[in-house]
Amino acid sequence: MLEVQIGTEAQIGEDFVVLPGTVLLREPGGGSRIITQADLAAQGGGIIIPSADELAKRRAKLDDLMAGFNERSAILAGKLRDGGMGIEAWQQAMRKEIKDLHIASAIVSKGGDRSQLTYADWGRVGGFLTSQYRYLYRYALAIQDKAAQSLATGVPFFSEKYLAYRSRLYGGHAKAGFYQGLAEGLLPQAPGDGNTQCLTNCQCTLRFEQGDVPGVILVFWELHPAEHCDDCVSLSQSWNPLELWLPGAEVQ
Amino acid sequence: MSDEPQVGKTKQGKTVVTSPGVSSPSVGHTMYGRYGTWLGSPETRYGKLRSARHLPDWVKIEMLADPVIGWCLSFIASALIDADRVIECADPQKRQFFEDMFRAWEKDFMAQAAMSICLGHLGLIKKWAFEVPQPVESDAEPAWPWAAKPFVITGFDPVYPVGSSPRFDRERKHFNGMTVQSQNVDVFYSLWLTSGKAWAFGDYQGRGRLEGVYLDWWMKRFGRDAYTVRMIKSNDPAVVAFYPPGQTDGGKDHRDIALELGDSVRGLATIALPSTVYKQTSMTGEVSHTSVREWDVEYLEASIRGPADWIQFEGHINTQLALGMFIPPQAFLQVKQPELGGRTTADVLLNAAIKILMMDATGVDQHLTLYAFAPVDVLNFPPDSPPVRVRTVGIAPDTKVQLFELIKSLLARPDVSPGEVDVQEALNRLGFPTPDRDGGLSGIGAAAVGDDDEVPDDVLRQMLQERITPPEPGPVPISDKEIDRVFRKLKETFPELFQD
Repeated sequence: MLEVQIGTEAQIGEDFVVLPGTVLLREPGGGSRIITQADLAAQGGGIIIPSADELAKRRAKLDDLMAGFNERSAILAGKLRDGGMGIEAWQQAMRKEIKDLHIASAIVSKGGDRSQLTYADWGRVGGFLTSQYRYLYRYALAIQDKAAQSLATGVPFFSEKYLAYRSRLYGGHAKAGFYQGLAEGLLPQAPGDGNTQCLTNCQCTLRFEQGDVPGVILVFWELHPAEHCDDCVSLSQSWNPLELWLPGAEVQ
Repeated sequence: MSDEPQVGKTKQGKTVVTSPGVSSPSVGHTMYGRYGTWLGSPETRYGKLRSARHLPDWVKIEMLADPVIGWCLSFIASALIDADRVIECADPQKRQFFEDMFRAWEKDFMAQAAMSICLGHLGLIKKWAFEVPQPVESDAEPAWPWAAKPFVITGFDPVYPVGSSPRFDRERKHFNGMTVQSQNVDVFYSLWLTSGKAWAFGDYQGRGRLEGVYLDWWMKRFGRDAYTVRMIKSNDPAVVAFYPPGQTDGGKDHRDIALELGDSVRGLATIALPSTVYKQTSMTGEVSHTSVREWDVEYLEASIRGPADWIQFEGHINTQLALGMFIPPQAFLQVKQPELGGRTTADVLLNAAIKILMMDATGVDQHLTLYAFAPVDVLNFPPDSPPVRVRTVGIAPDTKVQLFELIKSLLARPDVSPGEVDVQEALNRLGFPTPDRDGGLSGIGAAAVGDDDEVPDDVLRQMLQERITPPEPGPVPISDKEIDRVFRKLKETFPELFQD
């Protein structure tokens, strides 16, 4: 934990002025200085913001990972439809794909630096997987229902295109995992987490900037050329930016 | 006492009818035994099955909470709001005056009137004010050139249906206003909308569209309860505990021990069956016991397979509800395509739906003309001035198109029972957002069935026979081994990511 104190009177540093109430870091040799984001990050309580280029690179990797997932899930959907794979085997194979994608997404979010991933990160990923497994299970039941309906009434079974499309949705959540990984799980929501009308299809991205106040990160919800849902349009206005206050940054 | 009603005459010559006393079994939550704990009381939630002609208002209001009924009500309301209406009067200035007054609250009023079409009746309180109706077109002059302000209706407030009723004189000839929550509302402020009065044999409670779908709605609710019980039983199947009849040395009945044993391995009901010990006699006359179990427990496997049958059943009910809200079930049942000489069932039903909508709209027009426009007319215009009325002249073209699409979708194929039609699919075709059961998007509805090869029946049967493993509760564990594997794979795929 950081050893901090709250400034009680105006203090003047070399190139800054501390106002009363500001969180100060008590230094080992005595004295104190204004807390910085690096201080928080060093203690595991902060967020290391990658540069815009670095973030773009990581996002590109994530896109590649998701594209790979989409390809493989489409193959699995085809196997399921033509009888080459049972529904339970298909579910297990999909679970493995979803899990691998989320693990990879978490690693990529930290720029491949495995040491940055803590137990808390893996716990968060495990939570994400729970919800995706649950959705996948319900999807499997829906497929069974459709099979029953097709047998009973002769209506066509799901098309391959549809099955592949639906399978893709379960990988879309990896994007949310990516951003939550970057923000140490502190974001109230993230693109692709299913909290918007577009669900895991979300095409939006987040941009991070250091705020003027130490320990405060500015988060921008950015739209891209796509058919956006109302929720995303609204978020792009309200998160413009969103002030993300990190633990220990309760400065005035 | 006979079970038949007794009819007779008193000394004063009055006719008396006595009905036999009736006692009915309790239909409270106990009907579901121990499962009632979860279900609460069905009687207070949706009530016993009763005559559709005498539904209490609270049941009707509960029916409005059904998503399919609610959606149909919204559709009817929007159809009424968008319908074309004209004000007719021989005096152009007077016509314009009523036009200005009416258009200010036309849409609000029609939304309220839609509720009366569903419920059969609705009480409204007229809001009167001394003010000059302003023209709909902002640059036009008000059609009231005189100095004194007219006394006009500026809108309506609906009253809560439960506890509201119309009041009449003793001979039930003159409307005296309404009673709302035990308070009387004067006739001057009251407008009691009755829909389908002719179909209700003159009853001012009217005949709402909800009556036509009551049975299906009740069945849906009852079916859900039954399904819930099945589901619980499936998750917590009954246990059979076998025991040899008799008692312990301490005098405790073996049956009691068996029940305790069964209860200890599960949460809910337990069945105890005596496990009779069979004897057999050999050829030599020796008597011996068979290998019948004396003490044992076993779970009864429930026959429930999955929610497919329930979903199919609810889909059928939803279709019935939607069709019933738009078209009276009687009309629907009498339409068969071969009898129609080439026209499709959807065409015929569309016309029926529009005519019925127009009939309802005409009923609303009459109420407005007689009980809203007439008093305004009397208060503000001389007795010999020409009469004024409102008349619905047609349903908006958009509404017709939507209604046709809807009915066509509900019917799918003229030769197929509506029970086999997917309401969700119908809504998709109309462009309504309908999230899939697991949160997927509706926009892909059209792609749900494509031109692919048909899936063979044996593949579908195989899918149905398999048991799908549900996920474990709690966060999914991630092992170091899995992380290592993914990490290695990532390094191979994106070596540049790991250069540092």
